Amino acid sequence: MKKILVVDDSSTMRKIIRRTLRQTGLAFDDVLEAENGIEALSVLAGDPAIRVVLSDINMPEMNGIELVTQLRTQHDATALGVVMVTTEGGEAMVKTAMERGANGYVTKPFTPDAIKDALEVHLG
Amino acid sequence: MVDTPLSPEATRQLAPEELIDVLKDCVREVFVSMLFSFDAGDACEPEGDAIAPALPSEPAGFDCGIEVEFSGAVSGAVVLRAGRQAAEEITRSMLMMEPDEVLEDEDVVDALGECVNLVAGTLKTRALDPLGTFQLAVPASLNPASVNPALGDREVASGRRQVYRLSQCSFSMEIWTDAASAEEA
Ligand SMILES: [Mg+2]
Repeated sequence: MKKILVVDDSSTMRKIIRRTLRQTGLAFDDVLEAENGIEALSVLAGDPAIRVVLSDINMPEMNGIELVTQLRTQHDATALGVVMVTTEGGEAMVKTAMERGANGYVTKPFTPDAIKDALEVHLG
Repeated sequence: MVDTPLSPEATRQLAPEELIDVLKDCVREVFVSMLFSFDAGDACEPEGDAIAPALPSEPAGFDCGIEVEFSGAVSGAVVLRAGRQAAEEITRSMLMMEPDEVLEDEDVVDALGECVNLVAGTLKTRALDPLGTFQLAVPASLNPASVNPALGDREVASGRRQVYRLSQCSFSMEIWTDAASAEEA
């Protein structure tokens, strides 16, 4: 089983990402959703089949940078992929995310190819 | 947040009259790539030139407003205003909904919020990040009773509004900066 967890505070963006995932042609079994970092941690704790997390950065409760920081205390980067999907395209934010343990970084608005390129390695 | 004072050139680049052109590029990019079910090229055709609206003012019938605030060397907000029909058209397009699918109010608020978030994020990357450290807030609905962008309790200094035409209706995108940052400038 290969599952993907989409973390974004916007239900619209979660739907857009779901649709984009179908367009990539990548093989996966299920897509799960969470509204913020806190919810993501609890979904992940209950489902070891999640291979990769696609996470927004700007979210209430727990943002994406806090989430990836927390995740890297529990999962190493080969066991669980974390790809940031965010409007925050500035160099400083990309650097921070990668330093905290993100595997990839996609800026919104994105193309299906950008999502595919970032996920392929984690779903192989 | 910014250690060194902004140069006069950087300050000029953060004024709404400069930012509106970047904002228009950002609107086009977001609409072309993220709105799916109508001809996005037509959808983001500006109607006339950008204007500097006096406050308080609101385009007639644009009773739905969503803002994303930015803060840093200059604080302000990116605002989308629309009437119900345009709000629904944008939402249906983002969600690729069929015409007969029922649209909930919360879908509209979330879709417009994400639309403004995408535009503000693109603007931040292009125009704000190169000049200093800026942060974006999460999207917020404007109180219909107050047509000003919230901007906390601060006074709004100046803004620019661009109206866009959809097939049967229109919406506007605006950029505002607050009075405090204008005085500092
Ligand atoms: Mg967000």
